[in-house]
Amino acid sequence: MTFADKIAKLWELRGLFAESLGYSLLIAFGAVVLGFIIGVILAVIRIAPKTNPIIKLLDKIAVVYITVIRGTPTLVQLLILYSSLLVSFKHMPTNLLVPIIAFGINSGAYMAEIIRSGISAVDSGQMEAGRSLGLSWITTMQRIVIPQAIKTTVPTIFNEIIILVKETSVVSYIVLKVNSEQKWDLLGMAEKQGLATPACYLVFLFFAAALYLAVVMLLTALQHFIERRLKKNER
Amino acid sequence: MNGELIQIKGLYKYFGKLQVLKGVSCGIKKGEKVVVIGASGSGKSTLLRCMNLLEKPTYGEVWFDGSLLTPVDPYLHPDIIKASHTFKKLKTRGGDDEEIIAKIKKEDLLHEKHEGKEYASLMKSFYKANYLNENLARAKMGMVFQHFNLFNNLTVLQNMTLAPLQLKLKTKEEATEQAMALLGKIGLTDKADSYPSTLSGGQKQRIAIVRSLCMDPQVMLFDEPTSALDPEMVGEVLAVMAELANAGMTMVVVTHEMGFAREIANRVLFVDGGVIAEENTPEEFFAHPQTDRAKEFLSKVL
Repeated sequence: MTFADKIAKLWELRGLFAESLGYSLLIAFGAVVLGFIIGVILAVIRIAPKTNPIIKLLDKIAVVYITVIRGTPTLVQLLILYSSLLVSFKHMPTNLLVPIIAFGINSGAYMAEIIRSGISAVDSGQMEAGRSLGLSWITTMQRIVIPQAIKTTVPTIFNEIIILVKETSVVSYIVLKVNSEQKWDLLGMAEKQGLATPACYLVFLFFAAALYLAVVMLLTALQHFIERRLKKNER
Repeated sequence: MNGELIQIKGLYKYFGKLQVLKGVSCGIKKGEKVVVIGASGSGKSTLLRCMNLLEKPTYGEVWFDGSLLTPVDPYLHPDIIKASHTFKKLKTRGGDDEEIIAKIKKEDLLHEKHEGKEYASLMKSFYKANYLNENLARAKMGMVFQHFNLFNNLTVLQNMTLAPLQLKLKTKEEATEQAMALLGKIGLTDKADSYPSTLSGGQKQRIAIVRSLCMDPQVMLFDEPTSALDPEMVGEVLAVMAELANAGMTMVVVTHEMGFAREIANRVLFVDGGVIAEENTPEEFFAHPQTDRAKEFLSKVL
C-alpha cells in the first residue's frame, strides 16, 4: 500500500472520523460544563466560613471527594462508573452520559482546587466591602469574588480543559452506544479502523493525533481571546 | 435608646490569644461626628470594625438603632445572671446579690449549656426581642475602607447600584439617577462607566464614599480613609467627608488627620491598649490631654 493509497483510505473514512471526533468533543464539552459547576460549588464550600455544622460536614465531604478523585486514575473511575454500583450503565441504549459524568466528576475535583486558589487570591477587602453594604456572603461571592477569581484562573482552567479533552481518549475502554448502536470516540475509531486495515494503522493514529492537536490549538486561541477580552474590560 | 444610634457594651475582642479590645463601652449619638484616634495596634480599627460586625466581638454587645447585632452577653444582664444555676448555687452559700454577680463576672463562671431552663429561656427571649440580622443592619451603616475596596469587576456606576438593586431597595432607574447625582456632586460623572483600575486613589476613595451613600445610610464608618492616599489626594477626600459632616451625617472616623479631627469632630475617642483611654471634645483633648499616653501620642503626631 503506497502512502497515497493510505491517504485515499483515510479520505474514504472521513465521515466516520468526523463523527467520532464529534463524540469526543461532545463528551469533553459535557464533562467541562459539569466539572466547572462541581468545581465552583466545591470551591465555595471549601472557602466558606465554618460557622455551622452543615457547612463543616459539607466541607469534610468536599475534602474527601477531592482527595479520592484526584488520588485515583481517571480510567479506573470511568470503568467503575460504567460497570456500576447501582444501575448497569452497560445496558442503556444511549450511554454517552456515563463518560460525561465520569470525566465531569473527575474534572470537578481539579477545577475545585483551581477555583479555590483563585478565590483565595481575591483581596479580602472585596468581600468586606460587599458585606459592609449589606450584601450576604453568598451574594458577594457570586457577584464580586467568583467573577474575579475566574478571571485570574482562566489560564489554569483552560489547562484543565485541554487535559480533559485529551483524556477523553480513554473512553475507548468502554462500549459507547447511541440508540443501541455502538459508536466510537476519535481514538477508538482510529484503533478500530487500524485493526481492519493494519497497513493504515499508523496513518490513522497520526491523523487522530493531528485532530486532537487542532482542537487544543483552537482552545488555546479561545483562551487568549477570552483573556484579552477580560483585560480590556478593566481599561 | 437615649438617642444613641450605635452602642457598644463591654466589648472584648481576641485574635487567638492576642487581646485587642479589653472592655470598651461607648455610644454614638445621631448626628454626632466622632473621631477615633490612637497609635497603630491600639485597637481603634478593630473597634470600628466591630460596630458593623466585620469583626465579631468575642464578648460584649453591639446595638444599632435599638437593635442587638451580636449574641446576648449574659454578663451585661444582672437579671439573666440571677436566673443561672451558678448564681443560685452561690446564693445558697449566702451573700449579697451584687457581690455574687460581681464574682461571677470577674471569674467568668457562667457555662452557657449548664445554667438551666430559666436562664436559657431568658437568653433566648431577650435575643428574640432585640435581635436584628447583621445584613439588615449593615445596609444602614456605610463603611469606607483604607484601601477603598471598590469592586474591581464592576464599573463605577455598577459599584454604586449593585447593593441597592440586589437588596431591592430601589428600581434600576432610581438607583442610577441617585448614583449619577452623587457622582455629579464629587465631579466624577464622566467616570461612571470606567473600571476602578483606571482611577486615582483619591477618585477611588471619593467613589467609595458615595457608593456607601447610595444605601442611604444612617451612619458612616470611616476606617483610616486617607492613610493609603498620596498626600496631594488627601485634601479632596477630606473635603467630601467635611461636606458630608456639614450635611448632618452621623460619622465615626478612625484617622490620623488631626486637623480634620479638630475641625469636624464633636468628640474625640483616644484608644490605647484596647480601651478608650480618653474621651473629650477636640478642643479640650488637643489642648489639655489628661493621660500620659495621650500626651505622648499627641507630641508625636502634632
